Amino acid sequence: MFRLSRFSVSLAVLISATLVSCLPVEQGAQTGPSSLSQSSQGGFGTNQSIAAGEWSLPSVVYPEQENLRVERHLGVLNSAGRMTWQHEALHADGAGEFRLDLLGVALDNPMGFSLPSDIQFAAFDRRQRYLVSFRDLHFGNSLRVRQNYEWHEEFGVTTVAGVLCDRYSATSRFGFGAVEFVIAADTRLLMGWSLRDTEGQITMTSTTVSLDWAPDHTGIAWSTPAAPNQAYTGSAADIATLGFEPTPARYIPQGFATSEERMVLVETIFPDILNLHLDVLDDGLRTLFFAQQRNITRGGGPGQSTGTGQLAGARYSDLGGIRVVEGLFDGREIFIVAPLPTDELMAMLGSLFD
Amino acid sequence: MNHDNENLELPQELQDALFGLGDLAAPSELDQRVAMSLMGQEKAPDELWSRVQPELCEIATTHSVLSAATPSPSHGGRLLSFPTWVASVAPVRLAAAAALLLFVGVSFIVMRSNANNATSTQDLLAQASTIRAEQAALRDQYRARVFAQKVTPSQLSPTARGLASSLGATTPATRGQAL
Repeated sequence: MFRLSRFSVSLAVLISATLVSCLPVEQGAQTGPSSLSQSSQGGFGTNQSIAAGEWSLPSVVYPEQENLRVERHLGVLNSAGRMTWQHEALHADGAGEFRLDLLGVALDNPMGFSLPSDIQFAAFDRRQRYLVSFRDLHFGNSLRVRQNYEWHEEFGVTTVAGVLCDRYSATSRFGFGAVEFVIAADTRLLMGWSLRDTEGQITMTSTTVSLDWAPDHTGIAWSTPAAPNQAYTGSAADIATLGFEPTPARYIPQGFATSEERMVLVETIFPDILNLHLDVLDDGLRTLFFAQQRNITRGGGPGQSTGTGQLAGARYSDLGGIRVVEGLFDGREIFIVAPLPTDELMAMLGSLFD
Repeated sequence: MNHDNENLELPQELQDALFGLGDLAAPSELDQRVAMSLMGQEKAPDELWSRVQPELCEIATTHSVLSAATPSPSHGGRLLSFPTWVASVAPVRLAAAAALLLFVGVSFIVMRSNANNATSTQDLLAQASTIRAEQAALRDQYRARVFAQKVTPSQLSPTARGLASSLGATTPATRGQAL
């Protein structure tokens, strides 16, 4: 047996330090996956995957950040277990303005799109900012992404809309399913993504079908918020605006944390719909809405409270990949919405009261 | 469990040789692979060595040329400096030696780290398992408080449908959906 000397400890530390000093930090987050990609293309050519480094995430730019026009097909699993497809067009000016339009709808496969109805078009138009911000996939806090997901880069490249792309997948460490990404190898533009549930079934998927880097934005009416919103600070004025003080949840699905806490001032648009407190949580890739609203829409009106600390009228529904739980608590409507197992959302609701 | 390092030591010849490596930097891929191995994430593929070897040789050659061109201070006080004899070795041989020693050194560190961290990794896994179990128990406890009725999407409130639609769900659109 060897005996470890102070010298060898120093040596090991020094060599480790030399190696660690070479680790990509900020720059590596940009170049790490690419270097892996190069070696994968040159060295293996198989469909196996390797774990990407803990310290590096694929660099990515989102379509709404660039000056472009993209068309894409988005498939969403509906409550009947069928895939509904939307043909969408996104205009973006690269300076923060964008517009998302619904061009067509189809069922079961992304072919033979028909024009959306007026109601579908109007609902989509009103919601477009939320869709881009919360439905479309984004990397949240990088630490959260790395903590909650195990990353893989798939070997080989794929072609999407004529663009060579790298493929990545991220699997939830807490059993909430996987997320797959397709990113343009040269521009790092996010070209597609898929969300899989706990059983591995695709519940939502988006693929770019055309890409125009020299778009004509003439006549485009850029998206504006459907209702004003502002950050919730917990001040007396904010509480007065909402008409209640939001109750925090004591249980939050593992890996999730609040990324935004806002007040959606719906009353300014629809006087009969009350302002909403919206807590947006995410685990780095998946988004969870935890919303509270003074109750007048269900149960007869604001005077019909459920009483302090009581939950009533809870109900839930499975809308394909998106699960919804709602209930009346303390004179408020509570809404919890996320692509997560219903039990997680129920537990969150149950943690509001003693 | 024995956590100390007494059973592990670099062989003397490796120590001597590593002293002679100077401040060579490992290729980035080797870096990443070693770090991944240290974290227990992924075993380096067998052909990694054959791929990084040319890069290592190039680094070592470049370094030896630079070292020869730039007079270095006495190495007596520097742990990682090139001894005089190194500069006299043919660059290619040096490169091969440096690469081999670096790889052996790295392998040793990984081995040592794995051995030393075996227990702590098990501890961490055990802690993680405990935390997950506690979280699951907490979830079940809170979940049990809620008696909810399953409804069709159209029976949800307009606000609930609006929120679900904003996350991409397809729901029947109604006027009340402000979101």
